[in-house]
Amino acid sequence: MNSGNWRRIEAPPFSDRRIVQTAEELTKKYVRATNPDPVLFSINFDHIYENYIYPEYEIALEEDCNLGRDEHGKKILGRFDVDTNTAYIDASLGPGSRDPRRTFTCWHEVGGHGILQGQWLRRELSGFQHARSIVTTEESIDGRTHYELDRQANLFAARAAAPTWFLQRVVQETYQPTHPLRYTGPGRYCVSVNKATRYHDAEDFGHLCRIVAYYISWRFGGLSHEALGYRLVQIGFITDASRPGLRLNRVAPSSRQPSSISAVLATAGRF
Amino acid sequence: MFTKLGKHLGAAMDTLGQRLRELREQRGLTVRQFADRIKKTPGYVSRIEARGEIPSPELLCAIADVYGITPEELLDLAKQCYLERAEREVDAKNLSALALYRKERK
Repeated sequence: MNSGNWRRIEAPPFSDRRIVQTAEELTKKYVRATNPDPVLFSINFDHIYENYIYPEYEIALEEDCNLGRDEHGKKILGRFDVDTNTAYIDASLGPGSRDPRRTFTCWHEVGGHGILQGQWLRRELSGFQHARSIVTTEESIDGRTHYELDRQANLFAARAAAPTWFLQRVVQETYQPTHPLRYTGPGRYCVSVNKATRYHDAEDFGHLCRIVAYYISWRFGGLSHEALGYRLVQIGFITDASRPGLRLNRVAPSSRQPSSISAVLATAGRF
Repeated sequence: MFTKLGKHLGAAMDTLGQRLRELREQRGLTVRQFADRIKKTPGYVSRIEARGEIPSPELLCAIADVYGITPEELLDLAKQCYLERAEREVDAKNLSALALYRKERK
């Protein structure tokens, strides 16, 4: 994006390790600051924003804005204003819309661009004359974005919305797994949820991830099942063994053809 | 991605919240310090400054005391916010009713 009023800047100097650490630490700090009930505790963006992020970082958040379209005609979902330290979320993702992209976009703007990159952006752009803001479109929150600023914000958002320390705890509490859940192809899978056995027909790997994510999604405040499923794969709770070899967990074959692994992963990577 | 944009493109400009934030920053108070002064939680201050929650008139008077301004200014802003919201709600309802009406007439 480097034409007309647009300007490309260098990638922020944050390593992936540091981004992950900052995101995970943020949620831990929130827990330490608010001391919530461990049984009912959930990673809820709105609660964390109101009780920790705003008091600590004073990043303003305005929803229900009409952000219009970018120079390529793509719908703008979010915008971070570097000068006023304000994140704007488009009305199409407003709290009433029940759009699953809302939570991730809020984390992307407030967490990624605000908390992680905010200070660096202000310093980097101090000589830039015009009103300065970062625009987020559907492409920006896609797991396959090539734009480094967005990729880093996505990494931060994914880790803050479902931090590994909490995800592992929730998986342990809900599924008490003794080994990873292996996807071996389309068919019926049995999952132990809170010590009760549940049977589900999974069409493909992404579908199985979404099924598993479904039972724990209430602990992750509105994060989409796709995004949560992707994190479950990342922490190693679900593995794809559909290529010849292991045949565990599946109790009945399905007549449906599996979609290609790369396509499924690409779908799971979309937030 | 950077772009030249106007200051604000959104419709939901929360003037009361912005004014309260301005006042707090002018007095060099943090959210937590201000919350202590009005005997509320930082989360509540976040909601009124950043999420558009409108405090009760009694609380607005107490806030005016903390900032040393007349309560009328904040009460007027709160009233404007209520009116704007009501207007937006009525507009939205009217629009959806009109859309349904036109669809049915086709």
